[in-house]
Amino acid sequence: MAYSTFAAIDVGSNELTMKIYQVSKKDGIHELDCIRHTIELGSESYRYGKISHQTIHEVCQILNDFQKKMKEYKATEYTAYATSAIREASNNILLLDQIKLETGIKVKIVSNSEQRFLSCRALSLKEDSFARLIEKGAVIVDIGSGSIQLTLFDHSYLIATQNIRLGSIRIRDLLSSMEDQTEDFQGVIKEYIYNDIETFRHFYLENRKIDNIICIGERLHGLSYYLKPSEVKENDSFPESISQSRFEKIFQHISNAKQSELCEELGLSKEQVSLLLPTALIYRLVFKASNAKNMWFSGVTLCDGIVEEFAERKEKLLPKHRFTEDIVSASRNIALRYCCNTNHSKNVEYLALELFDSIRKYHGLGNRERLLLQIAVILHNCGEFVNMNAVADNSYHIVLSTEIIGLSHAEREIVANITRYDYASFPKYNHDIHGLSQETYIKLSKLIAIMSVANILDKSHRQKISDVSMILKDRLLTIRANTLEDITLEKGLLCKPAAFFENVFGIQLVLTKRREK
Amino acid sequence: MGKKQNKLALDNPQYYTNRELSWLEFNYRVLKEAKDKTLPLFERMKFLSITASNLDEFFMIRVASLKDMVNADYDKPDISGMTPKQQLSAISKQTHELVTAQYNTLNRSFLPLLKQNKIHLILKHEDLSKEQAHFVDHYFKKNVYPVLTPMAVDSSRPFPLIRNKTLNIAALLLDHSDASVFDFATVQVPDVLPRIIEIPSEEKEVRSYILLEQIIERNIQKLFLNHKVIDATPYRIMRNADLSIDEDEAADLLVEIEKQIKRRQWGEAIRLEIETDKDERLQRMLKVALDINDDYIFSIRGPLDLTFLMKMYSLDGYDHLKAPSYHSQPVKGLSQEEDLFSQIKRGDILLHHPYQTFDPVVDFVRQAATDPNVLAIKQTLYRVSSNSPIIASLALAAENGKQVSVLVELKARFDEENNIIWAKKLEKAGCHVIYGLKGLKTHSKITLVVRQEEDGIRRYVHLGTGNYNDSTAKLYTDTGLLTCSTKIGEDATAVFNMLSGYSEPESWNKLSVAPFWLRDKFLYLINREADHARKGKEARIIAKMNSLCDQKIIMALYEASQAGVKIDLIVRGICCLKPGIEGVSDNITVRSIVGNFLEHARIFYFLNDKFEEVYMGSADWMPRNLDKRVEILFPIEDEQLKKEAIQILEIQLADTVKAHILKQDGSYEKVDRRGKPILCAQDYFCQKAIKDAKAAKAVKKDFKQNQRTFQPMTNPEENE
Repeated sequence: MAYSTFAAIDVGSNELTMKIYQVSKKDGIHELDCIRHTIELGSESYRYGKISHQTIHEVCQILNDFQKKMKEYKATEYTAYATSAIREASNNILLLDQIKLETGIKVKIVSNSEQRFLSCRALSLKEDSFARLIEKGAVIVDIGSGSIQLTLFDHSYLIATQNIRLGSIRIRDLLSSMEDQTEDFQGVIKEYIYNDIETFRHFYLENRKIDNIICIGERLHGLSYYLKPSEVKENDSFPESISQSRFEKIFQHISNAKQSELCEELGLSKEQVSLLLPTALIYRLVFKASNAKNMWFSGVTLCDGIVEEFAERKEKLLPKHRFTEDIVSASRNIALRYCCNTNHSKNVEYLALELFDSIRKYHGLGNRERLLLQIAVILHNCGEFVNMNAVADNSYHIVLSTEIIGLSHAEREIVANITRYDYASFPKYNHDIHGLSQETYIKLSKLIAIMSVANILDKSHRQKISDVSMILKDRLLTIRANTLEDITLEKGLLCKPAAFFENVFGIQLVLTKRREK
Repeated sequence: MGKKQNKLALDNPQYYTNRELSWLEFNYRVLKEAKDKTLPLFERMKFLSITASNLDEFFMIRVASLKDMVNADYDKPDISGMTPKQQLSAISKQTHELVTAQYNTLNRSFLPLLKQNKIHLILKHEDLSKEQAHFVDHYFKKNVYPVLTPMAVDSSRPFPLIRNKTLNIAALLLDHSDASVFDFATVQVPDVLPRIIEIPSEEKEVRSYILLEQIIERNIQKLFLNHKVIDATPYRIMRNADLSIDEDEAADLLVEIEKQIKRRQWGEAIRLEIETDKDERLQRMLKVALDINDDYIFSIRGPLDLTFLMKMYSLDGYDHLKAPSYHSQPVKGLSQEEDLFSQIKRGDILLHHPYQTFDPVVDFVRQAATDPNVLAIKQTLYRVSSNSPIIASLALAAENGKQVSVLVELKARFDEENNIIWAKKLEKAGCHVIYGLKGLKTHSKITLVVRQEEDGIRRYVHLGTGNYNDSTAKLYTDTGLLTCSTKIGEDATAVFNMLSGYSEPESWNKLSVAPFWLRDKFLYLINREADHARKGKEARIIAKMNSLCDQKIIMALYEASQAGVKIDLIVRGICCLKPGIEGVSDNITVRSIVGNFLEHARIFYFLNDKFEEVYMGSADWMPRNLDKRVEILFPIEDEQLKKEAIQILEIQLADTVKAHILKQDGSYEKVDRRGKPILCAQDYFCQKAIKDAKAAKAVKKDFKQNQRTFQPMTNPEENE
């Protein structure tokens, strides 16, 4: 059959969602069905730090219903992701095991950066409008129940992303206790989140022209009610937008109206309306910080991102937007922040990727690892920002605590470890690197071996070796440098990392200078 | 400000008719059919029977509900400004008149006509000949006596519980030992025996019949051997039967409804029917025992419970006294040989029952049950026939490994018992059964079939205005749509997701669903038409439904009329709107068609500035349909089908035979035929369906012949 039926499951903080899609090369991705079931996992998890077994039992019942639904469409493949509610529950591993045993569904916890990245991918499904909007500079505001994610695109590239641990449910639950103590409820919320958004503005938005705010996340339901039908044009994949001035009017209306009035007006439950003001307030602050003109409602969900990922994996769909480049571009921006975006690291990046590609047959690693290597090179000197000594350790810590969009936590750990170790300091397995699986250890060894060689080749930081050709023959890799400079230093220093390289790959390294004609 | 004042004025009670009185008007229209001398006798008897069963239901539901209100001291006036008390007294007056009219029809028209047609219906056992009396007594001894349970009332034995709607005989007894003491006794006329019994006739070619209660009455002395029977009379009581289940309290809905069915029979007595010219003491005793007001005692001049006429209708050998029976025709353009899904894929199919057969709907589920490509079937069931082929197919589908979800509405009035049986049967077969929704009746009629095809998942949907009931589909006029439109398919999926308890969808493509969105949709459509009129454009609404009594809708219609929209309503039953009020509803006409088939389809037409829109659905313009039920309104978008749907409305508006026109005072009169052709819409549709089917057959035959031989073309005019 020319199409596959796929189920994307989002075990969210506020509701469980499953979407069924039909994916084919010919017609792309087509949503067949969507079911949602409200269950406030977030409230429980954020408040008590764990989720009770009764609640998980309820989750299991819903997931069992989801499975029936999958049968209705003969959807054999699925991906189930759990987000912050489960991620933050201290008993999450046990919960997932219980879910697996009770329903047969394997739920995976996604890191925040993976989750937000998926949402951005989902946006790209609406390819034309997305491309148009990010060209002129756009902030994507993803308001979740547990946190907000601000992601900045400019000139079609992802510039930066920042997570603020303050979602709509969290704000509401946090502040509902204070509601009767203050007249200026809004002021309190504003104070609470203003600083984070201001920091974001300071780092990324100064001297940048931002035209658009793109909203994702479920909580914009209420706001979208204010769209006039006349503003919805047929056949526009991003049909719903409102201008800054219009938003301001709506905001004033929401903040002045009583909750009960809003319920009546919008036909929403009290619970939904209680999230409306915090949401609107966040949008308003982003408007203020970015000076954007318009706000767009995308209506995409995490599930849309999950299926996009699936389609790309199954090669059913050529990505319209190159997300790998976004991850790289975001990493470069991080490097910029730590002043390590130097010619040296560019040169090392070039050499490392050349090495990686020339021995593909022998290392058995894929594009994803190539990406991790690339990011590691880009960031490998960032520790210098803190202290010229102990660069490796500082780099490791910076990477580990910097959110890199699109990477899972495990991947970020690999990147951090590549920056931390070189051929000399990389410990033996089971010696020092606790918590790394054997598989990861092997992967790391390979990437560190490549990285070390590349780094040594520009030890002088003068980019002497900036043009190479690599010839692999009978397990001998000849690095032929096309340079006029003297490379005696590099040749001399190469022997130790080359030995490590040989240990790892079984390939000998030779550095030569290209013969002049 | 001006508009606000306008609105205030439009809810003036003077502009509305009380719904109960409007309903009684409807029953009068049915009675008019019974009186219609142009109709065959047995058809007329059927109509009279219908007025009787209608009235029974009216008492059990509506009168009972009003009595509940009065008992609870609820005295808020309705939209016509009448309090429950006022309504009850008006109803009492009108129903007494109606009953008189019913029995006048029976006694003055039917009995002589029956005699003319050599049918002797003996209403009083005293009129039996000797030979007949002998036969009857023997019949009593052999068949009736064994199943009778006489019950006497005295100081030690309280008044027994008389079951709702049953026919009973009351007897006044005199004790042999003490001549001054009168006792009361009662015996139920057993419903396990036929009510009409054929007995030998004196003359040849004449057939004689007697009613069961007369046989018992004649032999009543045999039941009370120690007493002397002074007098005996049939009587019947009606009790409060409105099922109001408190769903919040019922832990298990199923159990609760099962309980309610048993309890229903013992509700408060709200009507007592008793034959006239009987001993007054009997009536008095019943009145006291049942605690019933004089207003609700009906003295009947003839046999009680006229529904026996329906049983007479099914007696063999009287075809010449009935209208020729109509057989539903195949649907135009639909082939029996090709599978239904391929045919739907080629284009939407409009169904018009009972003119066209209900088979495609049954086949839709039947084929889905065995089609290897079908993955899932979902359906809502409201009232199902006994031995429903649809239920059998659903069960089969589940056994074939398909995902089958069925919403069985247990709250369908009077059908609970039936529905519980089917629901259990389906569950056993492996279907996922949903027993209705808390607080809402699921009245929508929708079936969804999910099919896996070469190029992906395709959804087939049937939407209808009538229930999935193959028996009533032969009597009710309904419309339906078979489609595989992606947008409707997506909506259908969303409907079933909602019915299964998932969150509502963020938006709908094509369907409008009650209780949340439908009222707004109707108001939008009506107001849009009014806006067109205000802009000076031609504006028109034609709406066909069973009942119209929602005040907000009526107010919108009044406003539209004021704006200049021409509105033609075809409302079979209750209509609280008053047409032709100057400055309010000048542009509104209302007609009601009461014919051989029960008008049941709901079709809504809006001119929409020449971009005509036609909708069909399961909902009437009643508060209960718009607020307390799950209902679906669906558009007809295929241009050809839209034309056909509009034609249905136009033919009904042109009816000059069965149409009654509503006057401003709330009464109805037949169409003034002067200058108009005689047209009976129902007959027209029958003829049209036959013609279409014949034409299709001819084409097919032609086609077959074409395969064999060359067909020389001739001048078409020569053939004419």
